Amino acid sequence: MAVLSPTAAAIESSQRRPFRVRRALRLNLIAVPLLLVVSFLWAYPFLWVVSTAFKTQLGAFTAGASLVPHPLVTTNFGRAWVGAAFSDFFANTVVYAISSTLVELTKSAMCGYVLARYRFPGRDLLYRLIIATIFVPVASIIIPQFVLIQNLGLLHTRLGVILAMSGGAGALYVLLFTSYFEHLPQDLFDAARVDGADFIQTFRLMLPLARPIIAVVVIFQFIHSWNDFNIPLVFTLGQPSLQNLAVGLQAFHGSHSLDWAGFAAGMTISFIPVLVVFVAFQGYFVRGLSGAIKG
Amino acid sequence: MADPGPAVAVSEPRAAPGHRHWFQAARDDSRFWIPVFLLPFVLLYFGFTLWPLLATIVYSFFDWDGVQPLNQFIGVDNYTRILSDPLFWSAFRNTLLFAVLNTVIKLPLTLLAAVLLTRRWLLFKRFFRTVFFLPIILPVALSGLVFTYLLNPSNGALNSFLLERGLLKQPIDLLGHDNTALLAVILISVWQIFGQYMLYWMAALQQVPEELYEAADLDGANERQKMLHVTIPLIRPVAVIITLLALVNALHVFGIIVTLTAGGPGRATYVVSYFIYTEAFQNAPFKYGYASAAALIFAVLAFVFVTGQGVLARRAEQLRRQYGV
Amino acid sequence: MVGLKGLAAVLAVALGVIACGGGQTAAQPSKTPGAPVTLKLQDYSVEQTDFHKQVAAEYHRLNPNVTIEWTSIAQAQYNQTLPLAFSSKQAPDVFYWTTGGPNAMNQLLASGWIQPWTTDATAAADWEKRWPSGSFLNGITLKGGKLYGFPWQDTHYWGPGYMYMNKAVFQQAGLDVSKPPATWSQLSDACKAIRARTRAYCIAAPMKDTDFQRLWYALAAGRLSDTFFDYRNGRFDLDDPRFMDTFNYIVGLNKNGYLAPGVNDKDFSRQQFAAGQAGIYMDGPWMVSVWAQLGFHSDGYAVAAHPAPDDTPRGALSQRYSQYAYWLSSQSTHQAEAFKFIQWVTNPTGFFVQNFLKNSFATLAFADNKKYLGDPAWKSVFKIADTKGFRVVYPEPLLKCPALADSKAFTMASTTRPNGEWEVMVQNLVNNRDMTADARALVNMRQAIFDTQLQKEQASGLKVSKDCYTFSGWNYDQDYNPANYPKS
Repeated sequence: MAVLSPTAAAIESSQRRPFRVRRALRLNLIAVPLLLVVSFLWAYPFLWVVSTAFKTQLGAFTAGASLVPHPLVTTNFGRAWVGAAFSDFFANTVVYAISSTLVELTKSAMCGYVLARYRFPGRDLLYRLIIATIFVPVASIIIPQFVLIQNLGLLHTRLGVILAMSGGAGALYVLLFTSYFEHLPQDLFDAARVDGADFIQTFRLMLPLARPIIAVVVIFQFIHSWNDFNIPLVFTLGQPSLQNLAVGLQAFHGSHSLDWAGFAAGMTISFIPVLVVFVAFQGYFVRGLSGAIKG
Repeated sequence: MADPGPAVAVSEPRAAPGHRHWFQAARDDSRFWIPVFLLPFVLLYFGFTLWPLLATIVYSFFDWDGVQPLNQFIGVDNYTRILSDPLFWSAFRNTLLFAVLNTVIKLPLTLLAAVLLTRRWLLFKRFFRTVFFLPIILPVALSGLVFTYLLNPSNGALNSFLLERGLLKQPIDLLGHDNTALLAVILISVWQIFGQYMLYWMAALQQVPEELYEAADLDGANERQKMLHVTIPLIRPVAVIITLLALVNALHVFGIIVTLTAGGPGRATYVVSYFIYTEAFQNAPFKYGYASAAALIFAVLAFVFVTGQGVLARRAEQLRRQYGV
Repeated sequence: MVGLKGLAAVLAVALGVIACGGGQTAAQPSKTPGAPVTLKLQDYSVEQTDFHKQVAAEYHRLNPNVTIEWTSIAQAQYNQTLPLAFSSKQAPDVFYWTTGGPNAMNQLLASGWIQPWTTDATAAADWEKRWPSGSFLNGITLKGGKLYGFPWQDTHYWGPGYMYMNKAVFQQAGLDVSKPPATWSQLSDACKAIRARTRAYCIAAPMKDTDFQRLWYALAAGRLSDTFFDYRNGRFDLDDPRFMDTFNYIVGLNKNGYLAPGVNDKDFSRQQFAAGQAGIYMDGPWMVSVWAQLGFHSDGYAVAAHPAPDDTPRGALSQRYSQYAYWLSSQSTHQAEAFKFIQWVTNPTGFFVQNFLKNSFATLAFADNKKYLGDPAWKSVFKIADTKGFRVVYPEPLLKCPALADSKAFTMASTTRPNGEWEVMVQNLVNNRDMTADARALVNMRQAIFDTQLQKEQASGLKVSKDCYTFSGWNYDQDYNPANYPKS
């Protein structure tokens, strides 16, 4: 693998800079407008939901393709926040999302690291088992999970819900971590070993390098827990004080009608924090590995 | 240029090209820490995945409604009923079709998006990344509802727009015809899940050191060559995992079918998870034994299908190298 | 990057703090009268949530030692969590259950989920007087003389089969809502006028999932019946020629463009009608309150009976013994308080009835609906339903053969491929095809399961047979005379 020495690379890059700038400008002139058009179409359904939150029920129905609310109302938000008790559910949702993300992150990072770099009896079996169980659809196994939580005496508790949320889908995160850790450059491990680092120290060194996967796990588990209504519902048996926003959104589904505008308003309130989390963790994807090698 | 190396089997980790892989034998220090590190995952995994899986296998031999005591043993009745049910096989065919098309469309597109949106020269990267990521924030059920309104032939956004501009004489009903419904669902599900795979690819791309691209630039490589000879070979191991996840998630499609078409029109978009839902969970009394058997049959079929793909891919790879293509 | 130790510490503390938040302790059985009691009720009438809060507040005002906790969640989730609640001994005191129709009580007894509302025979007899005589039947709400269920919803007015007409659309089409289309050909003519003279569609007919039933029941009842089981001959009957007639008529409507396009769900179709984009919608009297929520009131629409075929013998809508809704759970320790509460609720002139009906949630079996539902739309509904032959009392197999309480044949046959009829019809409708072959296949499947299971049960000694389901002396447009049931 050819790696230029730092000085040579610096010289080369400075010589190419003017060329690069012109090339970059040219490419942007083509790419950016195209992306803007695609972005608008892409985000259209999303924008439609947000604009519906400001419409009346019938106004939403007759609007066609228009994104402009006519008439414009803000009562839907009040209905969602107060009427559907969103203010209560919000705290629960935050708790569930953060906790299950932390649990999921810790357990899959630790397990993935060990599976990737250490041989021990049963390692291959565990890895193959994890892959095999990915094929089973999760929906049909909720009853045994319920029985387990019940026997642990954790029904109607937040801990029970959090465990259930983080217990289910961890396999794919472990696979991602394993694959990532496997393909970290050997030089880093050798260097650490030469420095006399023990297990924990090596792990602390390696973990930041998996920043992109950490970001992936955080973002997806957060979104997944935020929007999950099945688990909180089942494991608290409908008890309102422990429900999250996603369950609260179901309240707009009356038995005879759907309060579409209220639903859209509730949805809008609900996804703002998720968007914030994404924007915050986006940066993790850019720094990544190259920083580590340059030192 | 770096040699792409042997194709990587999913089950065994291999070294990235040029790296010596070094499994450390358990030393004193790690002998303590390895079990500690494994414990949280293994505990939760056994409790919430393995034990329920075993229980599901047991339930599949019973006729059980989830309420009464588990005492109606019926042997393989559930299995024979499912395997001889033409609707199950029709749902399975739809599911396979969905999974293959969905994966084949989403993976290259998301890879392209990930590559494009991590280019140094691109302006407003953060904005574009956020936009492409937006659909996944909406719960799948909501996306389905939104699109039923948008695609509606009576007054939906798509038809209104096209009719007003004169591009159409009659409204088109994408979700109301057998042949277009499944395709529409596939495209909508790609839109919905785009952000997830884009992020996976972005994470994978981080494994490619920037120096390699610079070296390739010096060698005069264009974008396509950089993609083929630098990017793809280096992300191949992670790509295998991503493809596996993509296929499996697509096989398990459920939420979007329920809200978008309810398996319809008629039965045109019936998929296996929807089949299980209507047969076992939609009306009381539930049929947990039946659902368990169906889930297991489906898991086995899915496993065979996906590993079959892996075998085919490896064979194709061998042939390719054999003929130096 | 937070260090490993730091992360672990944060995790432990966070989990500890939040996880210790939990649910409530189990309710203590009241030993002394006047001790504070909490009654938990659960159902899936989500639109009544605010009303439930009012009821709880009012009852608490009158009985300060009793707190009512009435929770409603969406139906799909309710069906999932209620069985789990029972199996983990966390069932509410009172719950809503309508599955199984007339057989609900037997099924619930078999599951061990219910107890009698009261063991005091006199109190029960007094309470029964609020309903018309013959409302409480052994094997359906009574067993061994004990009272388990009570009719909640009225079944005479409440059901499918009403045709709603949008006044604005009709006016624009030159049609008069006071002379509604009464036959199928008149309906086609009206649709022709609407399509020609307005920009609206004629019939807003949902077709997604099971929503095709809205249009189907209305038209099929005019021709034969609104059930997929033929109680005269004891067989499943989607392939009956009379249903074929009806289906082909609907296909004809579709070919002419008289049905609004798209495979829509009922919410969509209802909004379409309310927005004036469709002239006709068929459904039940619950639409009065649904449209009120959309801001569409009875000055904008009129109600009429569904059209019937031009000349052939007509059918009728079915009225069944099946609207028993609230049950007292076997895990409840507050039988006395619960019975007191339910008596207060079912007071025909009390707070509950007045406000329930004011909100138009439903019609009640124990109330004078006409007194409290004054909306002109409701007046039309009452007039239509009181017309002879609109809705008739159907024969009930369970009353002919009480042993059917232990039979699973009908449930098995009807819950295998539960949406089969709708799927067959919609599949063929969107392709404008004849449904004979598919219908026959479905009927054969159901019938095979039905017959096999009945034979099995018969062989094991249960006194059941196909004859239990056959009422050859009855015709589809007549009330079945309850005197014909064997005396027990």
